[in-house]
Amino acid sequence: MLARAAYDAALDVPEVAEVRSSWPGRVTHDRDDLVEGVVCVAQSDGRYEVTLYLTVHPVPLRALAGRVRSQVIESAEYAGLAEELGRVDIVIEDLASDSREGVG
Amino acid sequence: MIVLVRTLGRLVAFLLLAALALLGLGLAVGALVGLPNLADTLDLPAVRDEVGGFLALVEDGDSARAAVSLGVAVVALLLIAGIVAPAQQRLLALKNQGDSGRLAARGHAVRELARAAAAQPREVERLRLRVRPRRRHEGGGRVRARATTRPDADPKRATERVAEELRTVTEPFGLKPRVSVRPARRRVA
Repeated sequence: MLARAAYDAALDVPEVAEVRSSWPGRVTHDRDDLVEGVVCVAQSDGRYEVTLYLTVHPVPLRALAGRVRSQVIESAEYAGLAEELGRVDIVIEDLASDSREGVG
Repeated sequence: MIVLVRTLGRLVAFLLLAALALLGLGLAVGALVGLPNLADTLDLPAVRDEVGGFLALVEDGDSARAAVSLGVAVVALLLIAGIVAPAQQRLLALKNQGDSGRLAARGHAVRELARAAAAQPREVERLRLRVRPRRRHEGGGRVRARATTRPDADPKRATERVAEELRTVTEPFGLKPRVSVRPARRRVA
């Protein structure tokens, strides 16, 4: 459920075009669901580290990562999974278009 | 595709090494206990005849066998490529991140950002970029920029402009830039 919530939350951010990885194995089996582009790994404190593999529109990446994290945290809270959510890592897989506004 | 090739390569390597181990073990046991007529037991004369026949065909020239051999060579090279290709996704992490999580990007994505950045200088007509993340550590690497400038552009100024524009990408990702410029050839009317 956490993987699906994180997936949906990331796609709610307008600058995120896709949640998917070109490398194999970047998926999470979430009950009967296979969530692509999200990897949840159990941390030592019992929570789950979530890594999202994103294709994004070219915008400043730090700000984008902040928005994605906020959205994931909000979504986890809404789903009652806030206690399970640990660190949220973001990997930019690709850019969706060729315009640009910066990185930092 | 690369996963399949890598798996096949590992399987072939495993089988070959297992065969080598068995052969070595057999020879060691044979050397210890002594095996009379070992060559006959292994039917080596027949093998010699077969290999001799094959070599004779090669010496005479045989296009069908040449094609098969070439195919075997190509498959072997593919398997080697599968083993040599990086097993881990190389990523570039942004520097100075907080505790909330890590932000990293693939070299391809960073290259696209860098291309968009450095394509802006007026002096640059064409730009080729290569981003190479470091092998062992996530974060850091090199970006190689080869710019073709407009015929009327000052190469030194163009180098500075490209490096300057690339800085929006190289600094956050800890990349070392290397810029070289070449003036475009003037078209003769």
